[in-house]
Amino acid sequence: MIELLKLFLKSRIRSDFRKDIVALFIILILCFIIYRRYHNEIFGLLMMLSTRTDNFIIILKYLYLFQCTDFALKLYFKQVIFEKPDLVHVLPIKKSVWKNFLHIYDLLNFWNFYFLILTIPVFHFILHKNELFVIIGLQIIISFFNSSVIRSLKSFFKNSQYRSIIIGIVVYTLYIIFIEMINSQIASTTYIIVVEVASIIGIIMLGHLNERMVSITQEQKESKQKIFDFSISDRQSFYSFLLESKYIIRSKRLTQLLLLSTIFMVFMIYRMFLFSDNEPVPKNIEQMFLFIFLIIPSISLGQYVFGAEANFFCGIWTKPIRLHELLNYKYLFYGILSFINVLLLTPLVIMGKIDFFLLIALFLFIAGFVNGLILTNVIIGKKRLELDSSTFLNYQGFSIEPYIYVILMIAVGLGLDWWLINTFGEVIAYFLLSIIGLIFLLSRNYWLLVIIKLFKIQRYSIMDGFRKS
Amino acid sequence: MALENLNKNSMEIYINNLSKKFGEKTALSISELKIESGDLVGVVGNNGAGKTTMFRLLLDLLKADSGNVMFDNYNVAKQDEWKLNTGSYIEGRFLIDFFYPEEYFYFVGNAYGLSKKEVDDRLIMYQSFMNDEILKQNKYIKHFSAGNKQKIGIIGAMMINSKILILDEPFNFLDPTSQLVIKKMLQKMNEELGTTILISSHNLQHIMDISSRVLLLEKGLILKDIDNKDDEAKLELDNYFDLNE
Repeated sequence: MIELLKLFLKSRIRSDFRKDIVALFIILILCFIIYRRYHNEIFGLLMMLSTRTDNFIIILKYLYLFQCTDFALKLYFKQVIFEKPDLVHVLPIKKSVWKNFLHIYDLLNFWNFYFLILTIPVFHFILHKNELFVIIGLQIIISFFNSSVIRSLKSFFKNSQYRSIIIGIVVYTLYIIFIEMINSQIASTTYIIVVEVASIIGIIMLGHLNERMVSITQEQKESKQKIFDFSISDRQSFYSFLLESKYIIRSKRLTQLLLLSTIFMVFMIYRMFLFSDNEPVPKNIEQMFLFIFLIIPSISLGQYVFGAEANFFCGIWTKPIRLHELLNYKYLFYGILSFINVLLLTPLVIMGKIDFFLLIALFLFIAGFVNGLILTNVIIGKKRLELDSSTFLNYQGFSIEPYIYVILMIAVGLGLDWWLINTFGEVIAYFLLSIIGLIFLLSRNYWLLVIIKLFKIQRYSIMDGFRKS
Repeated sequence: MALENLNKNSMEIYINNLSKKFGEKTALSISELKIESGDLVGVVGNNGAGKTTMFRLLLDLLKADSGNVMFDNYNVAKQDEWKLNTGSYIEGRFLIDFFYPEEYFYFVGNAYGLSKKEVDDRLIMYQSFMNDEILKQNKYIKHFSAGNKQKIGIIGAMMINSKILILDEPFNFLDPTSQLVIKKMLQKMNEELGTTILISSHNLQHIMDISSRVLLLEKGLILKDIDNKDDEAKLELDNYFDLNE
């Protein structure tokens, strides 16, 4: 047994240790940002809680509430061992030893302790010592129970393509009923249901994406050939992405366009710095600023969606190149540029001038939903963009229709964002913005095909426009 | 790599009632044309005869006013499967200017499911055609001469060993040696792989040298469809273009 544990520990250190470090780093950064942003509120709350006598009961109830998220996270992100690896198969290991090993492995797993790592400092402050030990013990037991249930369910549904989704829906339904029963006294019922349902949808979507990524990675690992020898579809994806990034780097015009955008963004960040610590950034200005800041790369590039490809579109059209892959990588590329903007805003988040959760919600909403709307411009734009010319005072390739269309699509996104925040309040609106973004992000294969279908219907007039411009 | 190891199946092309007008002017009108599998067809004609329009219609780059083009059972305007079996080069806009030639070849090879190694292997066959002026030059395609761009486009179309190959004016911009090399390569590809090849050119000699069949186009119409298996085209074309003068 000990040898088995050592073996797995070694293999884990070799394969996943770096991932764990990165995960821990991200958690610490998040904690720091939350602390920096809300430390006054946190200390106020702690002071208030430390004077109360019923903290134990309240934390107990919230602990149950947390189990839903814990279960969902483990269901989709934790690597569950339920079958003997080949290495173990060939060793003379008894079935009972293997089972015990699985239990110990589950018990000692990081996934049972991440919640405690985050909460013990707070619990230590507001609970008595005995109560703290009870909470820790209870948390580990429930978390271990979750892990065991997940392993059993995954093992049972191992042949089903949608096993995680099936299990998730059933278990979440039960959890919601359970949480609804025990939490009706500590928060509004509607609030809990909305938050939980939103979390669940988000986690299911993320989980689905995660499973796809794991499956692709697995296929690549299993391939006996090297980088250029994975499947045709993956290679096409690789080259689509290569195409997207190379023409931006190597084209004078697009590089200048992004440079201009960067100057504009620097100016915007500088303006936000001018708000003093005593003068909080007005909420509506903050929302507008973040929206525009994150959408700038998509505005710059989205008005010409196939404008660069127009230079060699005959070559693309006559080859077996999947246009929806090209569009998919444009979509992801715009998302990556928006994410770079998120990183650029990190100092403002740490300084507390920007709400971290609003930033993330808007990023998901823009990268998922608004960028998708902008990509439909592929049906409107019929001009070729001269890549070697300068962008300054150059109207070659510019036409008013796609430009107005992009502005309209952004207005739709901004309007929806404004309506959600004003209708549902900040917390629920942030969840809804994130969920909308994630739904569009994860369902992109379906709606991109629809866009390409519409493109194909109009291809002759579009290609004619490319040739003439 | 020996060409004979590669796929020998080829495809036939069938044109039915195909027409295209630009304004009032008829650019192409073909009531019926069948190009047999494994044919090497040369298309000749004066400027504005409709050669490029014909090739564009064959490759679904233009919308036909009527009729359709079939590659075997695939309707080119409605299906995409034909693309996997068709190599083509019509003009400079087939090239990705800001790629290095190597990147372009890998890009094309990748679209047709070829690995990097397969592309490298196939490029060896074109070494004499490239004449040490294409690979490892460390410059983007846009910085190459017109002749070398033409070579890159032709190699990109040929290296995939498709069942159908369509080249518009492949001898343009090429030096005499390269013209002879590409002629031989086209013949070899047609004979060994059975590829159905369509090429257009103003160079009658080249067309007559390698084509098994010659189409003479004028003002959008096929005036003559000549079987050239016994070099019959020479007399007919000489007569026609002499008369035109």
